[in-house]
Amino acid sequence: MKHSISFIINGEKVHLEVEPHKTLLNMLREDLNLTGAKEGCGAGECGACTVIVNGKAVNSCLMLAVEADGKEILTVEGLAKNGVLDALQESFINNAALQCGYCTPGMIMSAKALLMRNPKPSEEEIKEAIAGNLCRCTGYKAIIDAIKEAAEKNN
Amino acid sequence: MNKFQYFKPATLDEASDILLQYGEEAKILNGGTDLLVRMRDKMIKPKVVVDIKDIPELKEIKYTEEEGLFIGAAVTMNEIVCSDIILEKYKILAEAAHEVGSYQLRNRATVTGNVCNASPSGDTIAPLYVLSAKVKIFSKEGIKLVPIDDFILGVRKIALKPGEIVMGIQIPPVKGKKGGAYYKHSRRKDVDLATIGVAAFCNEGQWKIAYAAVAPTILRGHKAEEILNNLDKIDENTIIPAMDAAAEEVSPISDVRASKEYRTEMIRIGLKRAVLAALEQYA
Repeated sequence: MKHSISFIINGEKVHLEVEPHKTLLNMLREDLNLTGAKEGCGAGECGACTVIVNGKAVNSCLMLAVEADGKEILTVEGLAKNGVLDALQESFINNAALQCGYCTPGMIMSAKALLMRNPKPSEEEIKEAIAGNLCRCTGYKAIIDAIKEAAEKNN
Repeated sequence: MNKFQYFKPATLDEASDILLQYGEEAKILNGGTDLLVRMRDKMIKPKVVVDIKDIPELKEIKYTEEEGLFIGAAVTMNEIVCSDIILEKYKILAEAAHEVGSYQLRNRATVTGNVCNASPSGDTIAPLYVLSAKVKIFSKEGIKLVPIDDFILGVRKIALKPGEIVMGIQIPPVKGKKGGAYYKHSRRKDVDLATIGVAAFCNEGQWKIAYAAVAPTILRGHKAEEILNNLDKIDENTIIPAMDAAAEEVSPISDVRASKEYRTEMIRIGLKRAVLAALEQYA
């Protein structure tokens, strides 16, 4: 039986009918065509599927789509406003903080959630926030530098 | 993931009715960080999933001087890490909650879920043993409190009957001097299960020790406790008999994370580190 759910995605109100066994990640990718969040491990270990739900970073592969009912969701597609990139997106470019890019949307959303709750994070706090986001090609130093730069711009 | 029916009851009564109706075919969904992984891997195929996160009394953290601390089943690990009252009175639990998974995971995972999953390596369970926690269980007949070591029966085995729902964890108040620490040894710092873990808690000179990932359940370290309780001064040298006792009273296995020999050796080190860290907190 499909469930009727309503939620806000990247500032826009959406109404959908979803099967209970569909994950939030699959709903974003298949029903809303938001393919920024990726499936890596599908088990909450790699963080490639990270999105922000009610202000908190979560693994969208470990959340059911029906659980999104009444929630406010932010994905990487919602960061740029009127064609202007978010400070994090800019700083990832400036610092060459991506190569293949597969982990990048999740990495940026973890960093975004961090800066939303803590605009001036220490390096330790940055490392803690992205500990659940695996990167296999860029290396973490450039990513940490990018998050630091975005934090500085915010302040 | 196989298909299933999804229910989101608003009350414990309603949740219990659904669980009674579907029996073994129903599973409770809380943070989902264990359940959904097991469903995805088709290790379990429930026909019904009962999401309890919207039940109001499961969301609260409550402390009173008489009854101590209640942590509702739907309270997340990150809410525990950030709770002032838990940091002040039960810091060992906040520390252990911080060791679980990753930041994102801790926004969904719960202590009650950790307990009900009953993994021998569950990070928050050993601290609950040394804090003498009880599991608060709802059923249509009434509410009961079960000591955590009676509730956890084995690997993924808990004493929960059909229609019963864990409302949360109750921890008695701690009076007087206290200090506690949880030492987790794992292959990497985050997103890893404990290779071994040791929780040490001292209250008015009386020690409680619990070991993780070295037996089918969390194990109380009664022998090590007795030795520690009889020591006049605890330091790196005098603690050695307690370390030996720890190695004797565990029964680890070899698996993907470590051999039993390595675990036996590391439980000695874990005991020392947890006890010395607990002493630093002792006040």
